[in-house]
Amino acid sequence: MSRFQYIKVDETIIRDLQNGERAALEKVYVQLSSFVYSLALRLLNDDQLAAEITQDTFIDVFEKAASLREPAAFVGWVKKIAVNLCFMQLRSPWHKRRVFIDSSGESGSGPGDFEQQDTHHHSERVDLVSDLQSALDKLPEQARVVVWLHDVEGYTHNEIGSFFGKSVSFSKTQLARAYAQLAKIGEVDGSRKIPHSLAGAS
Amino acid sequence: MDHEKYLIALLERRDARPPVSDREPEVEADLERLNRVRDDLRSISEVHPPAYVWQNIAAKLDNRQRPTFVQNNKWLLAMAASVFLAALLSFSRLPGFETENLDPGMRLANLNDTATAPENELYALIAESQSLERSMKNTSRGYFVNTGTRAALLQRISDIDARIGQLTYAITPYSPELKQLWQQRVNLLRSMIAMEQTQTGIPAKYTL
Repeated sequence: MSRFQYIKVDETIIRDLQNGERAALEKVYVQLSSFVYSLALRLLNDDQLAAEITQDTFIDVFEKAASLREPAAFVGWVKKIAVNLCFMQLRSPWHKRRVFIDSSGESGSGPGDFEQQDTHHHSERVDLVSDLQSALDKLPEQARVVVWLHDVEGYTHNEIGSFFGKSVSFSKTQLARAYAQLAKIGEVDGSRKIPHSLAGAS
Repeated sequence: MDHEKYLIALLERRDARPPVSDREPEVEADLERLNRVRDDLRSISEVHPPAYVWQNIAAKLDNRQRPTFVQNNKWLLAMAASVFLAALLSFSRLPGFETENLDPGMRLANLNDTATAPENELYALIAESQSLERSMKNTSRGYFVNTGTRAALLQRISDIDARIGQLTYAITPYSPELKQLWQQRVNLLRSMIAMEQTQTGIPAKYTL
């Protein structure tokens, strides 16, 4: 499911990296940098921050590679470092302040206060599915992070809830809100009663 | 809110293992729509980071590694720089002149006839520096004495080598500064050899 899972890094390269060889880091960078950068770009929606996260991820990879016990888990380990760095950024007071300033003219909500947002209102701004990337960029931060981690990177609601320090239902709600906008699910008759087959499923 | 609950229920059904189908055509159509969105999300192409990211990584790692490397290899670096520069100057400017196995007193007589007196003095200093390094290496073999003074002298030699390197790469055939630097280098090496002799009690092969 995750894009990372399709990447195979040669074990020889990983061993060289663990021995502190810079050439090995360069090879790993060539293989993984676009995945790390894209992940950070989707989560943070800021190319400069994504570049910084990519940089810090590979420095961490180089400096901590010797501590990795299972080379087979290398790619997942790199991804974990990148995600952790992204969340450190998302949790930083500076970042929250910036997001608040950026969004204050549009939604009027506080930083990360997504429970107060009206998904129907946001859905009006979202383009069609064909312009999905643009729609993704317009999502509120938490909804964007959740949909990307869940649907693209393959994290479970449990794991995503843990990242945010919140519950499983928080992750599910954010995913639903993201979909309400991404897929113009508003076209699905929202006033319709929940079909009998789904009643009680949530 | 019903709409949000409906979506949550739909998404749970979509993500169930194995996926659950539904008898109601409208629900099936919505599930299909959700699947398409997920596929579209996964098809968004990766973006390559800007080129400067790797350059920053390399620079950061260089900065973190350099102090340890220089600290551990200061003497080696000083030797290498000196030998390289001497070889470069000797071979490029003084055809036929060999510093190896020459008596220091004979060197000036063997210098290139076209060289000016200051240039000859410079080459003599370079040759003497080489000779002192060889002597130093022989004196110190197996009896390395690490002291603060020695470390300070090495640091000064290293600094001089860095400056000599800058001047040489600037293709300066001769300059008073270059000669002065080589003179300082020779003086420092002499001091180090004298110090080594005092501390180890082993006479240097090269007599100062």
